[in-house]
Amino acid sequence: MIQSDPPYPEPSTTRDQPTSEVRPSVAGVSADEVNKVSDIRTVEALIAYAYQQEGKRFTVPGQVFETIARQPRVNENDERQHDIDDGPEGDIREDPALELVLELAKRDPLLAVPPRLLVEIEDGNIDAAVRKRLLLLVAAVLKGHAAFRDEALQDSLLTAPIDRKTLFDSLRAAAIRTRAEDLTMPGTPLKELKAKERDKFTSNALTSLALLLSMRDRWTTEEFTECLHTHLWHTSSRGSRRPKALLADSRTPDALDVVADMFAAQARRAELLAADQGRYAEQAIRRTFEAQALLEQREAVLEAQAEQITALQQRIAGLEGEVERERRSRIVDRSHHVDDYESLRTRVIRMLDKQTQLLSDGLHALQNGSPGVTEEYLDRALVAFSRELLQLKMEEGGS
Amino acid sequence: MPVGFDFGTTNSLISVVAGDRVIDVMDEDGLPFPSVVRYEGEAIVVGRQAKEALDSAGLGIHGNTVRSPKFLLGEESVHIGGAERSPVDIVHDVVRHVKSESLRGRQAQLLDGVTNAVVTIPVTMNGPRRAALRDAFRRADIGIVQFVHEPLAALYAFVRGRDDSAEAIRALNKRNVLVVDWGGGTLDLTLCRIEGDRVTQLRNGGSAEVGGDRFDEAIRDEVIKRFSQRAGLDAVAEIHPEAKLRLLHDSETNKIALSDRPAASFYRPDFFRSPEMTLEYRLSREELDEITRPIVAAGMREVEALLDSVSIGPSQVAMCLMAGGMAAMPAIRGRLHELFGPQRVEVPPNAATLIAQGAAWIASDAQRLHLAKPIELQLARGSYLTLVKAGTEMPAEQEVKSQQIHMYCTDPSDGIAKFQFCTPTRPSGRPQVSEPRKSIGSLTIQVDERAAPFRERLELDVSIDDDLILETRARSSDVQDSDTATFHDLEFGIELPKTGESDTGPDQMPKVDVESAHETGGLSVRANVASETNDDLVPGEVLYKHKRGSFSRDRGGTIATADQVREHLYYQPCAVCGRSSSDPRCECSTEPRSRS
Repeated sequence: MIQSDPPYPEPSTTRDQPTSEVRPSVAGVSADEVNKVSDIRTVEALIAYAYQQEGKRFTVPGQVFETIARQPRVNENDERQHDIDDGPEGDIREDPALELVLELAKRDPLLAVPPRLLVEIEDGNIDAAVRKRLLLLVAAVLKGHAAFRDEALQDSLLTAPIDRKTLFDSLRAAAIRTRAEDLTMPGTPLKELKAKERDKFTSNALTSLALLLSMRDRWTTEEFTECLHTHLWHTSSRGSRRPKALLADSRTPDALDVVADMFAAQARRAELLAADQGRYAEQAIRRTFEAQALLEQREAVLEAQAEQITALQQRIAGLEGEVERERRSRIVDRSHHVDDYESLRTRVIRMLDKQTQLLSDGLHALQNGSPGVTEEYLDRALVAFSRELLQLKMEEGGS
Repeated sequence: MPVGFDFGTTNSLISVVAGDRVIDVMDEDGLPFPSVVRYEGEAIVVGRQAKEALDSAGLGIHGNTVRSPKFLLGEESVHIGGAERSPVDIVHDVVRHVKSESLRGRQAQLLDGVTNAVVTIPVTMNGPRRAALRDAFRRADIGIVQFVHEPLAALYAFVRGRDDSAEAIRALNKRNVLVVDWGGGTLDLTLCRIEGDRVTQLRNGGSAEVGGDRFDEAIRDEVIKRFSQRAGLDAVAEIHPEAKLRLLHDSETNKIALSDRPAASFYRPDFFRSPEMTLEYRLSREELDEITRPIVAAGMREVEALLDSVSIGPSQVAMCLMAGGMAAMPAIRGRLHELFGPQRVEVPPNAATLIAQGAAWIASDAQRLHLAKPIELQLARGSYLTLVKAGTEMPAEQEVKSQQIHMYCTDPSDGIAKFQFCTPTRPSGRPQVSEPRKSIGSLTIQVDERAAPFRERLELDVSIDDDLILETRARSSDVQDSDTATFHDLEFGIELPKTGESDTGPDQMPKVDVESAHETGGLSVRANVASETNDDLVPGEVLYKHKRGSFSRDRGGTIATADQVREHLYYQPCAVCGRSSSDPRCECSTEPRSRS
């Protein structure tokens, strides 16, 4: 909420208590000249009027903005008009509105006016050029304020910030950190800010920045609400009051309605999202089941293939065993054949050797006059040959 | 696969199982390798070449030649041709020759390098000789998977080689088989008993004086003698040495020829050196029978003596299995036919190599020797504790089977614990206490004579190694004395090829003459050890000394047994007449009341 209490230092000006202090006059426009809204013809007059309200609520009719829009100075191509990133002094002197607003801002150290002005800009049906110019002027006010010295805050006044949370946290910290002497005008007696004043100042700074950025960067209502909720409403102390009492006692039911609608819409979206996520989860589960089934199918195939491989391996092992058995069998068969052959060969050799010796002795006996011995030896040799021949024939016949 | 290795008296041979038959790995002449080695300076001649230079029969050392070196095993060293040699070295020379020659043959691929073998041994080969034989084989890089006795190997080969082996075992079940291994050097006889699938030895016998070589030598010498007489040569006629050797071979040839001829001539030119003369002699079959009859008769007497030693007649022998080279000799076959009947004499065609084949089959079937009879320890008061059960499988190579038994001394009064080892005289799985036993040895160790019975602990270690040697070692815990005894002559059996029938049935052992089976002449000790603490085992006088209350009659009788009371009183004078209790003049002693 915009804090509308009188700005610090007090009392600079009050409507009830006219002061002898001379109000600033810039570009021929004095704050005293604009006593009624209907008198406003220019941007400068609007600004002067706004500061004249010292943070109180005010309403600017649509005709006033139309009148301002028709003024020649409100032109995007007017080079004298200030832009937010323009240089300081030289340029400012060429833009009387800027000069005026900066001059007036000095008397509003707690930033009570910018939120009011921004609310009117947002609320009114304003020409785009006027709107832009007013926003630039407000941005210039903020840029020159002590609470916005941080580089990130300065940058945010030029371009859309990347990290809004950090930005607003930084602004809150700066508002809390800012000393009283940084806020007071030169010559104004130094006075410490009270806690309530510090809260108002913090609230104004955060609200100003949130409104400015939301209008410049075209935030949605939801973004704006969420920003204020996070950085302003949520951190404010509600004291000992219960939520229902607070809601019932609220002086801004319209705002509550907006917030409630916004959160209801958000809830609906979340519900839809949850429903979507549920459907997605169901699909995912279904896909998981399908994948599981596929996996099982593949595993079954793999298992079948593994069994096939095992069977093949067993068959290979069996065949290898068979080959080995065949090989051994062949070795055995060969050894049997060798044994048979060797038995036969050595038997025949032994027989021949023996009979040769016998015949040799028989021949010797014949030569030495022993024909009887020769006859016997011949007979024995013949018998042995015949016997061997018979045995060979029988073996040949397989007997 | 291990091969079968018959390290025989006359010949050595490796056989191996290939498929369903055994192959004998012969030398290049198709004959087994003669177990003969000759040392000619540095040269070592082994086998046939060494044998053919030998002109005399008989086992052992002949000049620089050794025939059947396995009979030298067990001796520290022998002198051969003037040089001192170790019997293990000599055996190693033969084994190495047989191995290398076998591996050079055409069946080398079956032999797997001859790295392991089942080796046959005579039944008489004792433990130290078995250990020496193992050492010789180890030096030839042959591990002995196990020893098997030659007759068991022969019987195994005979059964295993038959197509109807199961039928043969069934026919022989619970019957006796005589294995007659009549080879060139020795006659080995073994009476076996077949029980179920198992064959065990009952009795062994034989002779080294009736080997085949003796026949050839006798024939040769008789021919020379008869020719010399007929030619009028005097006894000093000089014979050419080589001619004598050749005549020995002629004797073998003619001996074979006379099996189917009525006569055979010896013709050896220049047999006599001085005067120079040719030997020519025609030997008839009758003469041959006359010459060889005494040797055959001697062999047959050995057979009859063996049967007599166990008091069984030839009719109780279901089968006489012939093995060895002499199985082919008709005269021997004829005598065995006369004794047992032709149907019961089996002369397999492979009789000459039957033992090696048996070893090969045993190696192929991975059969193990079993202890034929249990080894028992006699306990106090005549009971027996089985140390090694009958049928215990003998250890494989480099294996030792051992056990420890905790014991007590029942009577330490003389300071000595006595362990008496024995075995039943006949094979039995569970011998009864009343069955006769023979002592196989004893151990004595010192114990504390002042200690009460059962106080001092005794430890008895029993082990059997792969050389089939049983070692026992006893120790006393208090006196710390110990003693060791080894037993080499255990008896073994082997399982025959499985028939699917193992009906051991009631133990119907042959009617062995128990009295004659007893070892006589040995001194046995009264065992005084026990495996449990039981006062009944303590002699009466010792029990009285240490536990006098056992003889109290307070409770209507003594705790001591009647025997213990008698033993106690034996050393006490008669309370009435003062005479010794064993004095026959004492007639006043009364039978003490006791609990038993």
